[in-house]
Amino acid sequence: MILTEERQSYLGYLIIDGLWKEELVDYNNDELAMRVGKKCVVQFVNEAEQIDVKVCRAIESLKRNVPEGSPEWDVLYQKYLKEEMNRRGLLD
Amino acid sequence: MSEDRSEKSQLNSVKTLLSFKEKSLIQERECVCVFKKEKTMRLGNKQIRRMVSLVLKGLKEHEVVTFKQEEEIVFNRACELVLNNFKEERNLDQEVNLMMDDLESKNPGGFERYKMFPLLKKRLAKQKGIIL
Repeated sequence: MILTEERQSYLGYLIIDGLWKEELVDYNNDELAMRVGKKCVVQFVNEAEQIDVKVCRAIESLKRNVPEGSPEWDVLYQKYLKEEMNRRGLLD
Repeated sequence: MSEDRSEKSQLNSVKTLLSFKEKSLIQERECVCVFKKEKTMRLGNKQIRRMVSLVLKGLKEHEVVTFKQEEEIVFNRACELVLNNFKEERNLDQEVNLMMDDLESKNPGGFERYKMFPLLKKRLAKQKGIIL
């Protein structure tokens, strides 16, 4: 998991509460706003995890066995991650 | 068994180091160590913008939000809020790496950074009230 459930929930809270505290937005239903915020962060994380799974599978599919956690695995992970994110237009 | 002992001894070293840290004997300095064995994805600006745009889209779809400022201003501020949260984590990583450098110099050989990193990070985050 790229972000723990607690962190996902916290980020949702951070955005919803932060914008309200700074008087940038108002909510007609605070509870619903908080639920929507958290749900959307979860949705984002699910997307990111799909990328993670794809990258891990790409490494696994290599003919030579690259043990997870080895320096080579890490290098490959970063390389394939970059490629996949680029494919999805998510790279800076 | 010997692995258990080694882990216990590493944990003891962490405890010692943390009390050392509490006494403010470790100075903050720029960290050049980029060691990272955890499989975590660092969120870049584009990803953060994607996350925030999903949140704002969700709020609008549920007709639960009224913008008191231009939407672009709100969007940028929300991105900053998230970015600051990740900066906080990066600073924590740097601090942990510094502590590990220190610990490693005191225990040359037999020091497994990749095992220590998450342990130390979790502990320090708890102390500082940072949600990981």
